[in-house]
Amino acid sequence: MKNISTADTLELVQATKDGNLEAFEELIRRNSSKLVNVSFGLLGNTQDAEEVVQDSFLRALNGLDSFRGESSFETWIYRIVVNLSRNKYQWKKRRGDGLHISLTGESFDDFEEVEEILIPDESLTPELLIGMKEYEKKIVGIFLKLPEKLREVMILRNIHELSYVKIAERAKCKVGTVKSRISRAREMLREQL
Amino acid sequence: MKNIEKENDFELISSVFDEELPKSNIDCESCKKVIEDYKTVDLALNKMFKNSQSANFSEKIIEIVRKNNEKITQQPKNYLFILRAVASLFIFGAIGVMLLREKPTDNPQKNKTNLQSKATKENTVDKVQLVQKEEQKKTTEFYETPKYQISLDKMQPVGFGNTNGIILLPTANKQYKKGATVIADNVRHVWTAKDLNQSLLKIIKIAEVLSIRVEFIRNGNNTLDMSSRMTKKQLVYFVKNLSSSGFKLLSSQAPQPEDIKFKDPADILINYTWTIVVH
Repeated sequence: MKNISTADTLELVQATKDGNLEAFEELIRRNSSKLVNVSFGLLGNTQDAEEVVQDSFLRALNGLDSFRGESSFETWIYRIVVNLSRNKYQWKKRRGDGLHISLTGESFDDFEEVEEILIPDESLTPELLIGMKEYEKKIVGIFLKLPEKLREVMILRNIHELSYVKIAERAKCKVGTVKSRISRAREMLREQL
Repeated sequence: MKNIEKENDFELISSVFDEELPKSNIDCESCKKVIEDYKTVDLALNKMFKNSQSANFSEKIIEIVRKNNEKITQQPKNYLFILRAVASLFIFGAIGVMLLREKPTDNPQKNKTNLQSKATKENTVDKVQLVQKEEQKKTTEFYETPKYQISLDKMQPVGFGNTNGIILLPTANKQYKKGATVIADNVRHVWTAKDLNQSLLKIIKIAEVLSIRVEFIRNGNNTLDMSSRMTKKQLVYFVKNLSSSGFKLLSSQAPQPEDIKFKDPADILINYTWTIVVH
């Protein structure tokens, strides 16, 4: 491989498998930011999200031999992050810390398709709210209370800027479902305006 | 589209907003307002995501990945180094021992000394083998006949059971042998004797020497029922001594006086009940 910075993902993955750690570092540079956003969107806590992403990359490096390229590396690492975020959430839930579920807040039980609602930490840190207007803070607060599956599609759309078809692949659902989920999420957030 | 009322309408607007559908699908004023609101929502979310991670996070992960990788690559190296060192030591040690034992030297005197040394070694080995054979024999002797003698002439009524006169018994041969006798946890024997009083004195004496506590169960006409808790080794001695003292064993249950090999560990406690029948 001539230049790591211009190499495509597949080349970087292959180079990492051949023992080139710099290639993997490039994969981290390209993906870590978006992945932290994914994990943050699910957990609502910067520290937890960064821990999850860090752990995901370590696992990916150790298990890269099992990656056969049937999906893209981005999809593969994305699934790792989502799974570890869920594990982290369950772990924190068992411990009973970090999760503040608002009993007076809106209920989203009418979403039959949502099997399990992942409720993130609502304790927004001051850093997170820097430069935000009051209504924006409200939007963020509501976003973090949305059912996990709605948040997931919103993250894939807003942060990863994926098409509906790609989102459907990542979220393992139909394109129509993606369309419906995004629309519902937006409507709920728009109500805060 | 004039009025937005149904959920499908919002899906349509959302799809247009995401450029999944062409803008021409919506041209009403209320639709444009919704689109503007969606932009505001997206802006708020993007601000949140922008602030949701610490600066230089990628470099922090890279640093951790590097450290982790160093650990992984170092561990096998250390392990291999130790393995190689141990293997080398073993091989050199083995070669050294072989050279010391076998290699003849050019010096005839040394060779002679080596030969003498070898002869001495062989002699020593022979002696050791002899000693081992004797030890084996001794071990077998434990099962054949006890080393002590019970003098019937000096027997006196001393009562049942005492803790004096403990004798050290030869170590049992722990190696299992073919045809070895198995002693049950509960053994019952019937013995015959000619004289009840004499028999009683003999039993008391044997029990005393073997440090066995004997309990009377029943004393009937010409019969004496007794029981005892003892080790299997003590039982073997006890049976052999009763036999050599003139008692005759009618029961076929092990151990028999002539048994010399036993399968079980000698120190296992068993219950022994026996009846003396005077005829």
